[in-house]
Amino acid sequence: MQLALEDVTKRFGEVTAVRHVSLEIARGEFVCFLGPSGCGKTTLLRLVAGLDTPDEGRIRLGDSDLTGISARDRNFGMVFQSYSLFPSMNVARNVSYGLHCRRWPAEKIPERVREILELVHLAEQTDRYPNQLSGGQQQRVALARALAPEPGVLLLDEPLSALDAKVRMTLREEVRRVQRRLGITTIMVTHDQKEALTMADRVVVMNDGVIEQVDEPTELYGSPATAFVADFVGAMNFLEARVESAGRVRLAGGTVLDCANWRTDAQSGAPVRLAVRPEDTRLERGANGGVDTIDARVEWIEFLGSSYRVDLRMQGGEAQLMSAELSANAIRERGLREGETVVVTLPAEHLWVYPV
Amino acid sequence: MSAVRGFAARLLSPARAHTSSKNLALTIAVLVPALVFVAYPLWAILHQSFLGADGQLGFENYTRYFTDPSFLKVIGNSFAVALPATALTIGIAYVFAYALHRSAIALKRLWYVIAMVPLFAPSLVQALGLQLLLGRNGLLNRTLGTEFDIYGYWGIFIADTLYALPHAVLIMSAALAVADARLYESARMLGASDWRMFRTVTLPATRYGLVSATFIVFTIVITDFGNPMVIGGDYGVLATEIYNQVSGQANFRLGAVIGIVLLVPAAVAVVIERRVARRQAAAITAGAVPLVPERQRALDAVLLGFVALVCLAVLAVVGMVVYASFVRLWPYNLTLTLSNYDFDVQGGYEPFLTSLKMALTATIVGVVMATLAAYVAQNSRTGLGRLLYFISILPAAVPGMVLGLGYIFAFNDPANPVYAIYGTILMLALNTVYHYHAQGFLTATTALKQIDSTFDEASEMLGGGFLRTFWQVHLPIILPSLVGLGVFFFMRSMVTLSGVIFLVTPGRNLAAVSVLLLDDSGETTQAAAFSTLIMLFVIAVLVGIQITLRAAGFRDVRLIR
Repeated sequence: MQLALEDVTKRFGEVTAVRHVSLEIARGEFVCFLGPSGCGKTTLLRLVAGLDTPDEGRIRLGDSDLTGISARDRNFGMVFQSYSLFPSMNVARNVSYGLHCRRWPAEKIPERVREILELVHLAEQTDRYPNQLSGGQQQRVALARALAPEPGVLLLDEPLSALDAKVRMTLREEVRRVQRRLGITTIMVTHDQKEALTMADRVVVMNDGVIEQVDEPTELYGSPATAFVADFVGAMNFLEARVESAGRVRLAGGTVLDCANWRTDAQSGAPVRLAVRPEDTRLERGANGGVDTIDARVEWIEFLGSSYRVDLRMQGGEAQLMSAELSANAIRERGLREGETVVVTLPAEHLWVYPV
Repeated sequence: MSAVRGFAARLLSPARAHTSSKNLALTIAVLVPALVFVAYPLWAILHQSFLGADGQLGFENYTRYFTDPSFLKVIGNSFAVALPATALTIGIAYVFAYALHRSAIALKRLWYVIAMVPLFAPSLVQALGLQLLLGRNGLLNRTLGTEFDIYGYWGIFIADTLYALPHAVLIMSAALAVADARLYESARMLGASDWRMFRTVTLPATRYGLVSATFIVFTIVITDFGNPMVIGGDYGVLATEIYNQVSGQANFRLGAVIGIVLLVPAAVAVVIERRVARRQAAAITAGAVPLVPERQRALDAVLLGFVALVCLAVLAVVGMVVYASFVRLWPYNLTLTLSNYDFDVQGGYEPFLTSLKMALTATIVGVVMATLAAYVAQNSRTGLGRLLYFISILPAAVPGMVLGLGYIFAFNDPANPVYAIYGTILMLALNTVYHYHAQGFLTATTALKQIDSTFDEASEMLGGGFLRTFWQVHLPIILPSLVGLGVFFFMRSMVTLSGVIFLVTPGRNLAAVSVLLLDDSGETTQAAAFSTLIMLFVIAVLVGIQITLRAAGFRDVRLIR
């Protein structure tokens, strides 16, 4: 364990931005704070950075308590969404700024600047000024500037959000490559779940100032702890249902389903939310009216590139909506068209039950 | 001690409690001089105005003032000049700025520079030029044999219109320079006529500028001292009346009363102007597409004629001053000579050198104090920060003569520690800095807004301290704006008259005051020569700085404001 947040709370006037958050981050780990805007993820990052001070709780680095140590003295590297390169300095001077601040010996500075700029593939651009660089290049300079003084922790505040999609993809890999190479403990704030899932060793999902779940990306996607996580990470169908008996729920239309994954201890008869991912939703043409299947009508088929999304309206007692994601082949084999009736099968191992 | 710390922490932002004592020290370091040199003199003049002959506070002075019909007449006179002169100035300035920014007329830069010329001269130069042109011994009467008399109402009216014109043109230019071409394209797509587009797009977009300029021009005209002093004759206005009471009859308390009377309309105008200016800033959106004016032959011809006529008027008046400065004995002997530049009366070149020293001092002090005040006011969300903001823009509402008179009451007293610098160049410089503090402060505030707040945090994360961040990160960004700010203080210091008129001494005179005294003692050609000297010097400095800035790679730096 290297970085530890212990029961951290931060308020801004009436608003509590972060409430009683505890978290441990291992040395060399890449952690993403993920959540919608206003969830407290940026505040939490700024508390770690020392740019804000927690009202309660403390933050420790190794054995030392960071409370009372200013951002200036923490030697953490930070990359901002707006790049924040100093406009009056060229690339080399931007990168060496922190080295001068941290009183590196003068003769070591040029070597360190070259070394770190080579790492981000910008060794040729040392004399350029920020306004002569593209957004992606500027952000790589910002990364080099943050890393140059060998910071204890690297903090990334939505570093890719201002870039266009293509550049974002390549920079995603580059940040990860550099981070692995240096083995530096890293926290990245993002609202983009794809970014979090592809880059992080562990993802911290936040909502309304609290942590909803901390897990590896595959676990987070495959086993969401709360309905919020299930909804926020990836696409998810939510259906209204009631507990039928232990391990089973009943939909309003009468369908009774076996469910393997219970995230509630609701008793028989209690309302629950049933969740299933579109790609786990199976469907065949025709109508059989079985008790463990759902009859539905195809409302809309949308082409997504590598696959199709099929919007379905459930038939019978109640007209709930859900969607399924199918490969192009699956659509063709089944000869699916809008307006047709299909039978939906929901496998028990892919069904999640959450409290209402 | 800890109680003081606790108080400080509450006053300052709680997020940065660990740096609060440093911030508090800086806030106080900026606030104290502002209180001493703005608030205290104002309080002093207010106090004096209520001080009766028996030394008791009361309305004695005011009663005396408001029951005397001749004093009431002066108030009426002031408004009788200020209201129509404001209307005329705004009308001319609007069309002038419209021609510069919304038409395709030729020589725009030239017209603009000519319109700015009155800024480079003391406020009495227009009156001096008018006197030479239309006075009893003016060129007109001499050549045509007429008996035209410009002294009095019309003299003040024309002189002040010309004097206030550049200020109005600057504001109207700012309002008309930014236009969203998309609005005009939409209007045209919808079939709007040119007149309709002007009424529905142009006028609404510039209405805040229009209101703002109106109140600023009104303040300038009603508080102007130099022009009515030279050309007013028997037509007394508030500004000259203060001078007569104080300098002529040594009636300081009545001077204070008139000062307060003059302060009221100026303050009201400034309060309204500030409210409007805030909205103007928000009216321009980031996505606007710049408008490129199209050629419209007939309209362009009319506008060109108008602009040329206005410039002719400005140049005629200033040109008369320059011409007269080279004439042996106006208007009897018009042979050319340089002898007027000998300045054999009124201390020779001494006042000019004093003005130069004062201006350099005021430039340095002004840039530092206005920038620090803007910095503190922007970064401090405390009661002290708001107080500093208020004190910083308060001088906009205070006529120079009122502030100057306040300085006499406040500091001409051996018991006051500031008395140590009373009568020195530093005192004159401080008076000038705080006289023009509002405009300097607002300029500095705009400059500081160029600094992205994350620069501070980026520097902090990298271990940069306050000084390093300021010196290496902030300063290079705002340097061009600071040069512009320095030019502003320098220009105003070289031509200022009303603020310092009560503070100069025979031994330590200033250039603009010297012009007034020369004219007053009948040395018209020497007064003209001294004015010409000031104008040429200010213009030379401006051109020199512009060239230096270009050479250093800074483009589009606005030096005239």
